[in-house]
This record gives sequence, C-alpha cells and structure tokens, in this order.
Amino acid sequence: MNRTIQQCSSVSFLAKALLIIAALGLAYAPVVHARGRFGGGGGRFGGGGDGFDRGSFGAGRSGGDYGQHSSSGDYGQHSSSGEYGQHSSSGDNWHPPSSESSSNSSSEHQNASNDYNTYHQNQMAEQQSRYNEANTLQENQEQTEKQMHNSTMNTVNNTAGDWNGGNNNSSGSSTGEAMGAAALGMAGGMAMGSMMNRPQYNPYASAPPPGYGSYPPPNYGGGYAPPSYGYGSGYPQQTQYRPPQNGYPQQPPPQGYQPYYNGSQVQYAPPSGQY
Amino acid sequence: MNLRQALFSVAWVVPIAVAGCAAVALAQSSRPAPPAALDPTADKILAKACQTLGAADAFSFHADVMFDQVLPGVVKVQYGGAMDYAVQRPGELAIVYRSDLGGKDLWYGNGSLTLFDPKYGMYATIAVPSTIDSMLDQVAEKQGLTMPLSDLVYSNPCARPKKVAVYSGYLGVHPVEGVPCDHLALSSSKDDFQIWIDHTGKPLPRKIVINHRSEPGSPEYIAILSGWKFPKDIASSRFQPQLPKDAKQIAFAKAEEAKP
Repeated sequence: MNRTIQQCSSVSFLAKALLIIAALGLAYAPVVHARGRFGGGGGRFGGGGDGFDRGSFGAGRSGGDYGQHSSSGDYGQHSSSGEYGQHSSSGDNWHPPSSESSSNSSSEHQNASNDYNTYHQNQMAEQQSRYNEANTLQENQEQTEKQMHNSTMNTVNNTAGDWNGGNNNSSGSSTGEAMGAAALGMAGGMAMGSMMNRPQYNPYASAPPPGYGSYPPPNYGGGYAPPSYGYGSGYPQQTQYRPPQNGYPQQPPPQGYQPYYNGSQVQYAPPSGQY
Repeated sequence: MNLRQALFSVAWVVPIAVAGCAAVALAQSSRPAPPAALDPTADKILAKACQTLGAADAFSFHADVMFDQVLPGVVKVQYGGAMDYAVQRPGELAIVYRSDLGGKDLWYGNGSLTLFDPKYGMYATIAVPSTIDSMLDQVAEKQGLTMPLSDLVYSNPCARPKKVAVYSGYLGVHPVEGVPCDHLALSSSKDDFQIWIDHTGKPLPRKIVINHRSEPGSPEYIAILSGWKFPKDIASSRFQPQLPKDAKQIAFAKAEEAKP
C-alpha cells in the first residue's frame, strides 16, 4: 500500500514538474521567436521610389524617432493591411491624396473611391501574378535541376561508386544498368557526361578516395546549387522566390489621373474632385 | 490512489502554471527600456566631426550610395546611386541625385524649394523657411519630404542622431577606401547607424551605413562620401532651378494626405 502511495506521489511530482517546465517554456517561446526571426515581420516589403527618401538618421520629422523620417515613398507605406504582395516595388503607385479637393457628393466620392480601389487592386493582383509566375518557373527549374542532380548521383554511385568495397545501396547494380538508366532518360545525356567528367563520390563512404585530399568531397561544379533567394522566411509561396528583373514595362496611369509629389516620389491620383 | 486520483491531485498546478506564464510574459512586456549606453570616446569623435561640418559656411561632397529594396518573401535586392551635395549656409542647398530607379534634382534658396524628377520630367516648387534647419524640418513635417544624408547639413549635425541614440560604441580604426577612419556605431530603438570618420585628417565622414533593423528584411543604406570641399562661397547659380523647357509643374501633397 505504501509503495503504491509512493509511486503515485512520484507521478504527481513529475507531473507538476513537467507542467511548470512547460509553462515556463510557453512564457519564453515568443521571446525566443522574436529574437530569432528574420526581419521585423509584419509581412510588408520595402522600397518604393528611387531611394531619395532614404539615408537619414534622426533627421526628418521633428520630435519623431528615427525611422519615421519619411512618410512618403518609404518602405511599408502601402501596407496598412500588413499583407505581403499588395505592393508595388517600383514606387510608382497611383495613390490619391486623401483630401484637398472637395467631392461633390458622398456617393460620387464613394464611386470614385471604389474605382480607384478596384484599379489599385487589379494592379497589385497583376503584379502578384507576375511574381507567382516567376516563382513557379523558378521552382520548376530548381526541381528539374535537383532531379537531374539526384539521378546523376545515383548513376555515379551505381556505376562506380564503391571505393570501399562496394558496400552501398546499389550493391546489385552494374555499369550496364546505370548506363541503361541514363539512356532511358532518367538523367539523360547530362548524367552520362557528368559521370565521365566528374570525380566519383560516394556520400556513404567513411573516407575520401586516394588523392582527393580533404573531406568534404570536391566541388562537382555545375551540379545543383541551392537557390540564392528565399531562406524560409515563412511567407507562403515565396520561400523559393527569385524576383523578376526590374524590366517590367511600367503601367501607364489611368486616364485623367494627375501626377503629384508624395514626399519625394511622383505618384498619380484621380482627377480633382473625383475621389 | 489510482492514476486518475493522481492526475486530479495535480490539476491545481495548471491554473498556477498559466498564471505564472502570464506573469512572466507581462513582466517582459512591461520591462522598461534599458538606459542609454553612450560611449564617451565615440561621442567625442562624433562631436568633432559635427563641429567641423556645423562651423563651415559652405561645403560640398559626393556620395556613392547603395540601398536595399525588400521584395515579397523578404527577398532583398540592392540598388545603387550617386549624389552631389552643395550647402551654403544659412539658406542654400542643392542636390543632384541619380539612382538605378530614378533621380532627383533639388534646389533650395531664397526661401523657395524646387524638386525636379528627371524620370517623369516633373517638378514642384514650394515656399519654405529661409534657413536650412527650418526648411528641412518643415518639408519633412508638411510635405513628407526627407533628403538623403540630410543629417549632415543641419547646423548641428549631431543633435538629431544623439537625440534618438540609445547606444553608441567605438569600434576602432578601420580604413575606408584606404583612408584610416574611426568607426563608430549608434543605435536607436529601431535602427542601427555606423559612421566612419577620418582618423588622421579633417574629421569628416567617409562612410555611413544605416540599417533599418525594425523594418522587414532590415534594409540598409550605405553611402561612401568623398570629394569634400569647403570653399568660402558656392556660386549662387548652383542653387537656382535649372529645369528643362518641357518640364511639367505639379504640386506637393500634404504629408497627412500623402499617407495611404
């Protein structure tokens, strides 16, 4: 009986300890995340304009903290929603000043505002689709490269890969099989080429082949390389993103829109009285 | 005591743990900001540079700049540009700025400021205060217009950075373009600022790096400063607008209107 009670007490103590540890872990978890995250979060993206409104520390709005130095054309200013992808990286957005001209009626104001919003949303959607298109193309290309690399590796391993006595996953394979696989199009001509031109590397081997010098193995050159963009920032569909070149033709402003300076950046707004 | 009873006996721990969790989180969120830690050595070097710039009646310099643009997915790209500054105190300023993404020409004098955008062929002119300090403050406040590296042209260039700095440090003598410089770091609550000041010659800024730490992707602004000149006077024509014939005049939006 005493033994049972002792066991239950131990369980109780362990459970309490675990709960307290879990609570403390929960309490600290957000802090650790905040320290470790990349960027300031918020899902906004910066830029806009030609950079003229950058480069001040402390200057700008009197009394304001640094970082609020520019209310115009500055990063994030078009991101009140905090959603990424609803921006233009060029900074040439058609934004209306909020007032200055009086609208004739509230309904007119509403209509013009809706028109503007629709136009703006269309523009953003168009840009986002361009990004997505570029993203998909890149992902496909990377997938293909990776596949080719894997095939090459398999072929190399299967064919000749055993410096240590052939004790790897492909113990039953032969050169002919590997070449056959290559010929069948798994890796295609590139795999054959790489097999002939590149040094042979067995990733499962415990030591490099003679003459290879240091480990890790030498660079294969031309093989799969990780993309230079996107480091798992947590933004959906953008982790393998390669931005489009800055050469997209600029969309002209809608008919009748008037230019004005928003800070140091030229932007366009609907005709006076239409918003 | 069976297992159910044992679990029941520890149930009281749960609310206590939750309360403890909340208390810790609250204590962290309400923790006061640490006191400013300003390095006297850095402060002294910075003060010398500011004194040199503040005391000059006129000066000009060239800046090669690089600035980041953070795209969706926190992809960060860098663009470049160049800028020529001319300052005549108390009330004249000219900037010629060209970057990968556009450019600006700015003329300020006789209480008037003109900003020309060569990419669009458009300009705007406004009446502004007759001193550089007041003009910079006013256009930032009313037009949302800030100028790159404008900290350097205030009559007291140190005042604003020091006002927002919560940390400063002296990092050593490090060369910029082969010139030995004192490397200083300052941080505000949102951004980091580094400046390299000539170590052996006239204490002038040779390089400035601003990291917008609190912004997504932490975009940076880098400026390499060169060609410092301190003439007695700069020709007034330098501060007069020189607009193309076909330039189109537009207006500034007020800062509060410019906000989306």
